[in-house]
Amino acid sequence: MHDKLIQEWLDGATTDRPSDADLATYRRLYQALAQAPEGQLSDAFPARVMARISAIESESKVDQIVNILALLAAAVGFVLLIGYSAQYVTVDLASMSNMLYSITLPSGLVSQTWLYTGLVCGLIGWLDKYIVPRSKGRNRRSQRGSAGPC
Amino acid sequence: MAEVLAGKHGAFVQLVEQFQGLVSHLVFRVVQNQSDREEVCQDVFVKVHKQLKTFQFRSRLATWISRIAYNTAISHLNGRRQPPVEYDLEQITQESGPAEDMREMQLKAFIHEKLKRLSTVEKSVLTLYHLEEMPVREISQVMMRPEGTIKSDLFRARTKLRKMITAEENRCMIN
Repeated sequence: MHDKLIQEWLDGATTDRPSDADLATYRRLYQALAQAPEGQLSDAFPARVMARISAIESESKVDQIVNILALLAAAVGFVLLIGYSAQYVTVDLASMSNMLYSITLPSGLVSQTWLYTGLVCGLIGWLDKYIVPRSKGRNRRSQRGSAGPC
Repeated sequence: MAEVLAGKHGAFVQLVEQFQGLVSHLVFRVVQNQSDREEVCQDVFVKVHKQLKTFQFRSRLATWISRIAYNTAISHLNGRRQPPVEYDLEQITQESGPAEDMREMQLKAFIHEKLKRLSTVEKSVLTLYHLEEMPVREISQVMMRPEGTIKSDLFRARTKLRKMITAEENRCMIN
Protein backbone atom coordinates (compact mmCIF):
# COMPACT_ATOMS: atom_id res chain seq x y z
CA MET A 1 0.00 0.00 0.00
CA HIS A 2 2.86 2.38 0.76
CA ASP A 3 4.06 2.11 -2.87
CA LYS A 4 0.73 3.49 -4.02
CA LEU A 5 0.80 6.33 -1.49
CA ILE A 6 4.33 7.38 -2.42
CA GLN A 7 3.62 7.24 -6.14
CA GLU A 8 0.45 9.25 -5.73
CA TRP A 9 2.31 11.88 -3.71
CA LEU A 10 5.13 12.11 -6.25
CA ASP A 11 2.59 12.34 -9.09
CA GLY A 12 0.85 15.15 -7.24
CA ALA A 13 -2.35 13.15 -6.78
CA THR A 14 -2.31 13.58 -3.00
CA THR A 15 -0.96 16.17 -0.57
CA ASP A 16 -0.28 13.71 2.29
CA ARG A 17 3.49 13.46 2.37
CA PRO A 18 4.49 9.85 2.96
CA SER A 19 7.08 9.20 5.65
CA ASP A 20 8.68 6.17 4.21
CA ALA A 21 12.23 5.09 3.55
CA ASP A 22 11.17 4.09 0.04
CA LEU A 23 10.50 7.73 -0.79
CA ALA A 24 14.19 8.35 -1.50
CA THR A 25 14.32 5.28 -3.70
CA TYR A 26 11.30 6.47 -5.59
CA ARG A 27 12.82 9.93 -6.06
CA ARG A 28 15.88 8.37 -7.68
CA LEU A 29 13.65 6.12 -9.76
CA TYR A 30 11.64 9.10 -11.04
CA GLN A 31 14.85 10.98 -11.87
CA ALA A 32 16.16 8.00 -13.82
CA LEU A 33 12.88 7.54 -15.66
CA ALA A 34 12.95 11.17 -16.77
CA GLN A 35 16.21 10.51 -18.62
CA ALA A 36 16.28 9.57 -22.27
CA PRO A 37 17.28 6.03 -23.20
CA GLU A 38 20.80 5.33 -24.39
CA GLY A 39 21.71 6.11 -27.96
CA GLN A 40 20.54 8.77 -30.34
CA LEU A 41 19.62 9.20 -33.92
CA SER A 42 22.29 10.26 -36.38
CA ASP A 43 22.55 13.90 -37.46
CA ALA A 44 21.58 12.85 -40.97
CA PHE A 45 18.34 11.31 -39.74
CA PRO A 46 15.95 13.98 -41.19
CA ALA A 47 17.79 13.85 -44.53
CA ARG A 48 17.51 10.06 -44.58
CA VAL A 49 13.80 10.23 -43.85
CA MET A 50 13.31 12.73 -46.67
CA ALA A 51 15.36 10.55 -49.04
CA ARG A 52 13.13 7.57 -48.25
CA ILE A 53 9.97 9.63 -48.73
CA SER A 54 11.29 10.99 -52.06
CA ALA A 55 12.12 7.45 -53.20
CA ILE A 56 8.64 6.24 -52.28
CA GLU A 57 7.01 9.21 -54.02
CA SER A 58 9.04 8.71 -57.21
CA GLU A 59 8.19 4.99 -57.10
CA SER A 60 4.51 5.81 -56.87
CA LYS A 61 4.85 8.29 -59.78
CA VAL A 62 6.53 5.59 -61.88
CA ASP A 63 3.70 3.24 -60.90
CA GLN A 64 1.15 5.82 -62.01
CA ILE A 65 2.90 6.30 -65.37
CA VAL A 66 3.10 2.53 -65.87
CA ASN A 67 -0.60 2.22 -65.06
CA ILE A 68 -1.53 4.95 -67.57
CA LEU A 69 0.66 3.34 -70.25
CA ALA A 70 -0.90 -0.05 -69.54
CA LEU A 71 -4.37 1.49 -69.84
CA LEU A 72 -3.45 3.16 -73.16
CA ALA A 73 -1.96 -0.07 -74.49
CA ALA A 74 -5.13 -1.93 -73.52
CA ALA A 75 -7.32 0.68 -75.23
CA VAL A 76 -5.23 0.65 -78.44
CA GLY A 77 -5.18 -3.14 -78.38
CA PHE A 78 -8.96 -3.21 -77.97
CA VAL A 79 -9.54 -0.87 -80.91
CA LEU A 80 -7.17 -2.86 -83.14
CA LEU A 81 -8.81 -6.10 -82.12
CA ILE A 82 -12.30 -4.73 -82.87
CA GLY A 83 -11.17 -3.46 -86.32
CA TYR A 84 -9.58 -6.80 -87.14
CA SER A 85 -12.49 -8.90 -85.93
CA ALA A 86 -15.13 -6.64 -87.60
CA GLN A 87 -14.25 -8.16 -91.01
CA TYR A 88 -15.18 -11.58 -89.76
CA VAL A 89 -18.30 -10.30 -88.02
CA THR A 90 -19.69 -8.78 -91.27
CA VAL A 91 -18.99 -12.03 -93.07
CA ASP A 92 -20.82 -13.88 -90.34
CA LEU A 93 -23.80 -11.46 -90.52
CA ALA A 94 -24.02 -11.96 -94.28
CA SER A 95 -23.97 -15.70 -93.92
CA MET A 96 -26.65 -15.45 -91.20
CA SER A 97 -28.99 -13.40 -93.47
CA ASN A 98 -28.52 -15.98 -96.21
CA MET A 99 -29.54 -18.63 -93.74
CA LEU A 100 -32.68 -16.65 -92.81
CA TYR A 101 -33.65 -16.25 -96.48
CA SER A 102 -33.33 -19.91 -97.01
CA ILE A 103 -35.86 -20.65 -94.28
CA THR A 104 -39.32 -21.48 -95.76
CA LEU A 105 -42.12 -20.18 -93.56
CA PRO A 106 -45.57 -21.83 -93.49
CA SER A 107 -48.14 -19.97 -95.70
CA GLY A 108 -50.56 -19.45 -92.75
CA LEU A 109 -47.97 -17.61 -90.74
CA VAL A 110 -47.11 -15.30 -93.61
CA SER A 111 -50.76 -14.38 -94.31
CA GLN A 112 -51.43 -13.79 -90.58
CA THR A 113 -48.38 -11.52 -90.36
CA TRP A 114 -49.62 -9.44 -93.31
CA LEU A 115 -53.14 -9.33 -91.84
CA TYR A 116 -52.05 -8.09 -88.42
CA THR A 117 -49.64 -5.60 -89.95
CA GLY A 118 -52.48 -4.23 -92.05
CA LEU A 119 -54.80 -3.99 -89.04
CA VAL A 120 -52.21 -2.12 -86.98
CA CYS A 121 -51.56 0.29 -89.85
CA GLY A 122 -55.31 0.84 -90.28
CA LEU A 123 -55.76 1.50 -86.57
CA ILE A 124 -52.94 4.04 -86.57
CA GLY A 125 -54.46 5.74 -89.64
CA TRP A 126 -57.95 5.91 -88.05
CA LEU A 127 -56.50 7.34 -84.86
CA ASP A 128 -54.55 9.88 -86.88
CA LYS A 129 -57.61 10.91 -88.94
CA TYR A 130 -60.37 11.11 -86.30
CA ILE A 131 -58.98 11.22 -82.79
CA VAL A 132 -56.05 13.60 -83.17
CA PRO A 133 -57.99 16.42 -85.06
CA ARG A 134 -60.76 16.36 -82.41
CA SER A 135 -58.32 16.75 -79.55
CA LYS A 136 -56.57 19.56 -81.43
CA GLY A 137 -59.93 21.39 -81.87
CA ARG A 138 -60.67 20.95 -78.13
CA ASN A 139 -57.31 22.42 -77.31
CA ARG A 140 -57.97 25.43 -79.53
CA ARG A 141 -61.35 26.06 -77.84
CA SER A 142 -59.89 25.80 -74.42
CA GLN A 143 -57.12 28.21 -75.41
CA ARG A 144 -59.73 30.69 -76.69
CA GLY A 145 -61.78 30.32 -73.50
CA SER A 146 -58.83 31.06 -71.32
CA ALA A 147 -57.99 34.15 -73.30
CA GLY A 148 -60.75 36.16 -71.58
CA PRO A 149 -64.04 37.93 -72.59
CA CYS A 150 -62.46 40.06 -75.32
CA MET B 1 1.30 22.20 -40.18
CA ALA B 2 -0.49 23.84 -43.10
CA GLU B 3 2.81 24.03 -44.96
CA VAL B 4 3.44 20.34 -44.31
CA LEU B 5 -0.04 19.47 -45.60
CA ALA B 6 0.62 21.63 -48.65
CA GLY B 7 3.57 19.37 -49.40
CA LYS B 8 6.32 21.87 -48.62
CA HIS B 9 9.56 19.91 -48.42
CA GLY B 10 11.26 22.01 -45.73
CA ALA B 11 8.20 21.99 -43.49
CA PHE B 12 8.25 18.23 -43.11
CA VAL B 13 11.98 18.32 -42.30
CA GLN B 14 11.14 20.72 -39.48
CA LEU B 15 8.42 18.35 -38.29
CA VAL B 16 10.93 15.47 -38.27
CA GLU B 17 13.42 17.56 -36.32
CA GLN B 18 10.74 18.60 -33.84
CA PHE B 19 9.45 15.10 -33.12
CA GLN B 20 12.47 12.87 -33.67
CA GLY B 21 13.26 13.03 -29.96
CA LEU B 22 9.81 11.84 -28.97
CA VAL B 23 9.84 9.07 -31.57
CA SER B 24 13.35 7.91 -30.75
CA HIS B 25 12.65 7.81 -27.00
CA LEU B 26 9.66 5.56 -27.51
CA VAL B 27 11.24 3.37 -30.19
CA PHE B 28 14.58 3.06 -28.38
CA ARG B 29 12.80 1.88 -25.24
CA VAL B 30 10.73 -0.72 -27.07
CA VAL B 31 13.16 -1.95 -29.75
CA GLN B 32 16.26 -3.42 -28.15
CA ASN B 33 18.13 -4.24 -31.36
CA GLN B 34 20.31 -1.17 -32.00
CA SER B 35 20.71 -1.82 -35.72
CA ASP B 36 16.93 -1.72 -36.21
CA ARG B 37 16.18 1.35 -34.12
CA GLU B 38 16.93 4.07 -36.67
CA GLU B 39 15.13 2.16 -39.41
CA VAL B 40 12.03 1.84 -37.24
CA CYS B 41 12.19 5.58 -36.50
CA GLN B 42 12.41 6.23 -40.25
CA ASP B 43 9.40 3.96 -40.78
CA VAL B 44 7.48 6.06 -38.26
CA PHE B 45 8.10 9.31 -40.13
CA VAL B 46 7.39 7.71 -43.50
CA LYS B 47 4.02 6.62 -42.09
CA VAL B 48 3.46 10.07 -40.60
CA HIS B 49 4.11 11.62 -44.03
CA LYS B 50 1.79 9.15 -45.71
CA GLN B 51 -1.05 9.50 -43.20
CA LEU B 52 -0.73 13.20 -42.46
CA LYS B 53 -3.71 14.00 -44.68
CA THR B 54 -5.88 11.80 -42.44
CA PHE B 55 -4.89 13.71 -39.27
CA GLN B 56 -8.10 15.34 -38.09
CA PHE B 57 -6.74 17.58 -35.30
CA ARG B 58 -8.82 15.70 -32.72
CA SER B 59 -5.70 15.20 -30.63
CA ARG B 60 -2.32 16.85 -30.29
CA LEU B 61 0.07 16.13 -33.14
CA ALA B 62 2.53 14.72 -30.58
CA THR B 63 -0.11 12.25 -29.38
CA TRP B 64 -0.90 11.19 -32.93
CA ILE B 65 2.78 10.72 -33.82
CA SER B 66 3.37 8.82 -30.57
CA ARG B 67 0.58 6.45 -31.50
CA ILE B 68 2.15 5.78 -34.90
CA ALA B 69 5.55 5.30 -33.25
CA TYR B 70 4.14 2.89 -30.67
CA ASN B 71 2.24 0.84 -33.26
CA THR B 72 5.25 0.75 -35.59
CA ALA B 73 7.52 -0.44 -32.80
CA ILE B 74 5.02 -3.12 -31.78
CA SER B 75 4.64 -4.25 -35.42
CA HIS B 76 8.42 -4.44 -35.68
CA LEU B 77 8.60 -6.64 -32.58
CA ASN B 78 5.77 -8.85 -33.86
CA GLY B 79 7.45 -9.13 -37.24
CA ARG B 80 10.67 -10.14 -35.58
CA ARG B 81 8.79 -12.74 -33.54
CA GLN B 82 10.63 -11.67 -30.42
CA PRO B 83 9.18 -13.33 -27.35
CA PRO B 84 7.72 -10.79 -24.92
CA VAL B 85 10.05 -10.16 -22.02
CA GLU B 86 8.45 -11.44 -18.87
CA TYR B 87 9.33 -9.87 -15.60
CA ASP B 88 10.82 -12.22 -13.09
CA LEU B 89 11.90 -10.61 -9.83
CA GLU B 90 13.51 -13.79 -8.56
CA GLN B 91 15.75 -14.00 -11.59
CA ILE B 92 16.61 -10.32 -11.51
CA THR B 93 17.51 -10.18 -7.83
CA GLN B 94 19.70 -13.24 -8.15
CA GLU B 95 21.60 -11.76 -11.09
CA SER B 96 24.92 -10.17 -10.36
CA GLY B 97 24.49 -6.42 -10.69
CA PRO B 98 27.16 -3.77 -10.38
CA ALA B 99 29.65 -4.88 -7.75
CA GLU B 100 30.52 -1.39 -6.57
CA ASP B 101 28.40 0.87 -4.37
CA MET B 102 25.16 2.17 -5.72
CA ARG B 103 26.15 5.68 -6.62
CA GLU B 104 23.73 7.90 -8.46
CA MET B 105 25.12 7.33 -11.93
CA GLN B 106 25.38 3.64 -11.43
CA LEU B 107 21.87 3.53 -10.02
CA LYS B 108 20.51 5.29 -13.09
CA ALA B 109 22.38 2.90 -15.36
CA PHE B 110 21.03 0.05 -13.27
CA ILE B 111 17.47 1.34 -13.61
CA HIS B 112 17.85 1.78 -17.36
CA GLU B 113 19.17 -1.75 -17.61
CA LYS B 114 16.28 -3.13 -15.58
CA LEU B 115 13.80 -1.11 -17.65
CA LYS B 116 14.65 -3.38 -20.55
CA ARG B 117 13.21 -6.28 -18.59
CA LEU B 118 9.78 -4.73 -18.33
CA SER B 119 7.05 -5.51 -20.82
CA THR B 120 6.65 -3.37 -23.94
CA VAL B 121 3.50 -1.79 -22.54
CA GLU B 122 5.19 -0.91 -19.23
CA LYS B 123 8.25 0.56 -20.95
CA SER B 124 6.05 2.63 -23.24
CA VAL B 125 3.85 3.89 -20.43
CA LEU B 126 6.86 4.89 -18.32
CA THR B 127 8.53 6.64 -21.26
CA LEU B 128 5.46 8.61 -22.25
CA TYR B 129 4.60 9.58 -18.67
CA HIS B 130 7.99 10.36 -17.16
CA LEU B 131 10.12 11.34 -20.15
CA GLU B 132 7.57 12.95 -22.45
CA GLU B 133 5.45 14.19 -19.53
CA MET B 134 2.31 13.11 -21.32
CA PRO B 135 -0.89 13.03 -19.26
CA VAL B 136 -2.56 9.67 -18.65
CA ARG B 137 -5.50 10.65 -20.89
CA GLU B 138 -3.19 11.13 -23.87
CA ILE B 139 -1.23 7.97 -23.11
CA SER B 140 -4.50 6.05 -23.22
CA GLN B 141 -5.12 7.55 -26.69
CA VAL B 142 -1.64 6.57 -27.85
CA MET B 143 -1.83 3.02 -26.56
CA MET B 144 -5.56 2.46 -27.08
CA ARG B 145 -6.00 1.34 -23.49
CA PRO B 146 -8.40 2.72 -20.87
CA GLU B 147 -7.04 5.41 -18.54
CA GLY B 148 -7.55 3.15 -15.52
CA THR B 149 -5.44 0.45 -17.15
CA ILE B 150 -2.69 2.97 -17.93
CA LYS B 151 -2.67 4.07 -14.27
CA SER B 152 -2.36 0.48 -13.06
CA ASP B 153 0.35 -0.19 -15.70
CA LEU B 154 2.26 2.81 -14.38
CA PHE B 155 1.88 1.74 -10.76
CA ARG B 156 2.86 -1.87 -11.47
CA ALA B 157 5.91 -0.92 -13.55
CA ARG B 158 7.23 1.56 -10.98
CA THR B 159 6.65 -0.85 -8.12
CA LYS B 160 8.59 -3.55 -9.96
CA LEU B 161 11.50 -1.16 -10.52
CA ARG B 162 11.39 0.02 -6.91
CA LYS B 163 11.58 -3.58 -5.72
CA MET B 164 14.53 -4.23 -8.01
CA ILE B 165 16.36 -1.16 -6.67
CA THR B 166 15.63 -2.09 -3.06
CA ALA B 167 16.81 -5.65 -3.67
CA GLU B 168 19.99 -4.38 -5.30
CA GLU B 169 20.63 -1.87 -2.50
CA ASN B 170 20.17 -4.60 0.10
CA ARG B 171 22.49 -6.88 -1.82
CA CYS B 172 25.17 -4.16 -1.94
CA MET B 173 24.79 -3.45 1.77
CA ILE B 174 25.26 -7.15 2.61
CA ASN B 175 28.33 -7.33 0.39
